[in-house]
Amino acid sequence: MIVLEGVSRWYGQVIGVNDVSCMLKPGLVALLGQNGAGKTTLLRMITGQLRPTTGRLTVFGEEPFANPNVLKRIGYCPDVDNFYENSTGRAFIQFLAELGGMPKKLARERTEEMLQVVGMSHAADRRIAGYSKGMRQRIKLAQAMIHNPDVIVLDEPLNGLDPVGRHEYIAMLHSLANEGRLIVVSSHILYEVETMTKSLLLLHRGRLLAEGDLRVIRSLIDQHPHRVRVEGPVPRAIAQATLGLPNVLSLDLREQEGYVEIEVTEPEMFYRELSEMVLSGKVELTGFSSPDNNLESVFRYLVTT
Amino acid sequence: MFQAIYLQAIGEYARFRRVIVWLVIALLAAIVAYMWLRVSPNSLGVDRYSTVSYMLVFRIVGFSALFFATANVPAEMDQRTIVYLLTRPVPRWMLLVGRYLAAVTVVTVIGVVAALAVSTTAFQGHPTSNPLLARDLLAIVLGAFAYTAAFALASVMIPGRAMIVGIIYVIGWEGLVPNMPGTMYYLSIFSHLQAIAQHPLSSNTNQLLSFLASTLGTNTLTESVSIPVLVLVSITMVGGAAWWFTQFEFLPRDAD
Repeated sequence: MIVLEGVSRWYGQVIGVNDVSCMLKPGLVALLGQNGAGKTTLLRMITGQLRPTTGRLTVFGEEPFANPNVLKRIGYCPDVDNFYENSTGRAFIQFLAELGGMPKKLARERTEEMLQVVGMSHAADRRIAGYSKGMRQRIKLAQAMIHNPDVIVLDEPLNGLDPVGRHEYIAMLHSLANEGRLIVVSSHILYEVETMTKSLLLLHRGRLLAEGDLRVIRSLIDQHPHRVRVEGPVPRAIAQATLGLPNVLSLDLREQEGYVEIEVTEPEMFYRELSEMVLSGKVELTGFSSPDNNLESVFRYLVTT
Repeated sequence: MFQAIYLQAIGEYARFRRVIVWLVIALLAAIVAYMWLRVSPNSLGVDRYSTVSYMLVFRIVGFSALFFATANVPAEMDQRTIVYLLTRPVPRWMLLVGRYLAAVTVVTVIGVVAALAVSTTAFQGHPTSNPLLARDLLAIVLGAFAYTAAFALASVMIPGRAMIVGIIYVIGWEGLVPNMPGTMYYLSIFSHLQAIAQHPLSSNTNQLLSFLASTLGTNTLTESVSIPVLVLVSITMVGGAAWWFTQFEFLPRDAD
């Protein structure tokens, strides 16, 4: 559906996207990267707002820039939180439907349908200016889906949604992907993406750092030492119990703060052994977490690979 | 598709808060004509109307065209809604032309209201007894097309500076060039509007008023030249704007 071949995009002296090559097929794909990684630039190129400086980007075999043939098969939910604020949700969506060439009657029907899908029928006749952040996200999604596109591109769509809203939103994206569409979702939050899909594109400073199944990327990460913070009433006892484990590389005992930070080689095995120790009563703990389980650490691992 | 673009833009441009400002300005022009009548009751209605029309009504057309033409692309970029327009399966030229025509419609209505208001006060409540009105209305329509086209082109070529350049153009160029000797006035839309309006020479000799009305120069343009020129200018400029809009990138302001 979408093919990128050595795509780069410069803004004067600054590079936004650097030599990215990949192919996106139907399903739910997450574009993961920190702020400024080039996600929005890449999505803007896919949705025909920007041209690549070098390389070739095609969507359904055609270049998307200002190309109505391509745009009628793409729905875009931008990261910007701006609307025609005086318009109502219904009028906004219906206008964009008609702008896409839909006859008035069909546009009205599709608008009703989409408002129901995104759960905004009850507030559709209110002015957008009075909408909450979550409502605005839903209206943005509705306008992206209004013309029944084959590809839906969503730039940071979960921002501002409450947990229930997120859950519903993600379920909706899955059902759209199951209909054979390509859904591209950008995010800078790893755990958010993990709940959404296993298929990832990892962007870092404009470069495509990794591509494919999240588990493959995780296993790449797991080849490197991983820090685990274990909290308990007696941190020294935790340190003593875990010191002898074969995959523990080092320990940092923080008695004052009430935890031990352990560097391990195979986190999955360590977690298994740790849970066995807890079940057998060898150690008592109140919690554990991994300071490395965030996007920054993922990038650090991959950059040093 | 075209109808949707046009109607949406009309809805945006003709919002009460936007239009009311221009209607108040039109009313102020009428008040100037009324004050003239009060100060000089023996002055001719044609003189009052002619001077106030050149001095204010045609300027209102220029300024409102600037205001609404820059609401086309730069304002969409500023309010970051341009992204919704440019990601729809609609040719960009159609977007630009549809919104251009909506701007022309609103500018024409404002100009016509201003002309009617001035005519009403200048002719003491009998606007239809104004022999200059019909030609002025034609000039206002053509002026709306030409000015809006010029500013539409500026707004896509220099979206960040279109407003300031436009203000300099309307006040500086359009205010001064028709007063200057020589043939520079051929390049002024205002001079062409004067050629179409064909106001008679005023009997008032006040140099300041003549300067403000841009009647100090020797305008030898004729209606048969100026109408085709303004039509050509409008088509060329809006065509250029549509081409530019199709070829280049337009992102929401402050986008990375």
